Amino acid sequence: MNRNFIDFLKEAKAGDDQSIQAIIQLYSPLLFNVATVDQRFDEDLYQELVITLLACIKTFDPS
Amino acid sequence: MERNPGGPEFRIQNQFTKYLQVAVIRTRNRYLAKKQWLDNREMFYDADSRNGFDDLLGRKQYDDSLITELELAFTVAALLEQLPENARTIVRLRVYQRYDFDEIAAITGISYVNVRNIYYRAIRRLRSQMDEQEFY
Repeated sequence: MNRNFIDFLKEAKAGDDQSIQAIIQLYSPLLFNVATVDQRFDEDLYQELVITLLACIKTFDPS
Repeated sequence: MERNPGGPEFRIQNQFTKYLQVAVIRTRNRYLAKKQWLDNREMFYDADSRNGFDDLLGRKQYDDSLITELELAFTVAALLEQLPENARTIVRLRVYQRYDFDEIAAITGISYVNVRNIYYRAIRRLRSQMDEQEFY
């Protein structure tokens, strides 16, 4: 019953909030790691990375 | 949604992950470079901050015949009034009442990092407005 990533990505590109949330959740461990600098979690950086993720959803061309 | 278990059907997801990794590393580098730059500036400003507004704003010696201390005090007060409410409160607590950032954070309920950001932004704004008024 699991929908695949491409479906989520397509819907997220179209602006569907739930799909965007699902992708953020999927990648949050990655973002969390990147936002941890000198073993400290930097919340401002994490927010910047979420914005980057949203931009990537818009700009990524899956063709 | 499942984490990527691999395999050819997940080719698009792998591509997206790589695409995202490049972008987030770039964001991280840019963010850290900017933060480093701001920290350096803040250390520069903070060295003077406990000596009140004159030093804080980097005011140089000026000609007494052109502008009096009183005029300057009124100008600073007027510029301070133009700041947003939270910035004004933080600047007053910091400069006039000599609180530390963590104390201000506790008083205002704003996070420590935000207090610092708001404070330094306000000081930069005051500086540039003083520059415009040719007090230097």
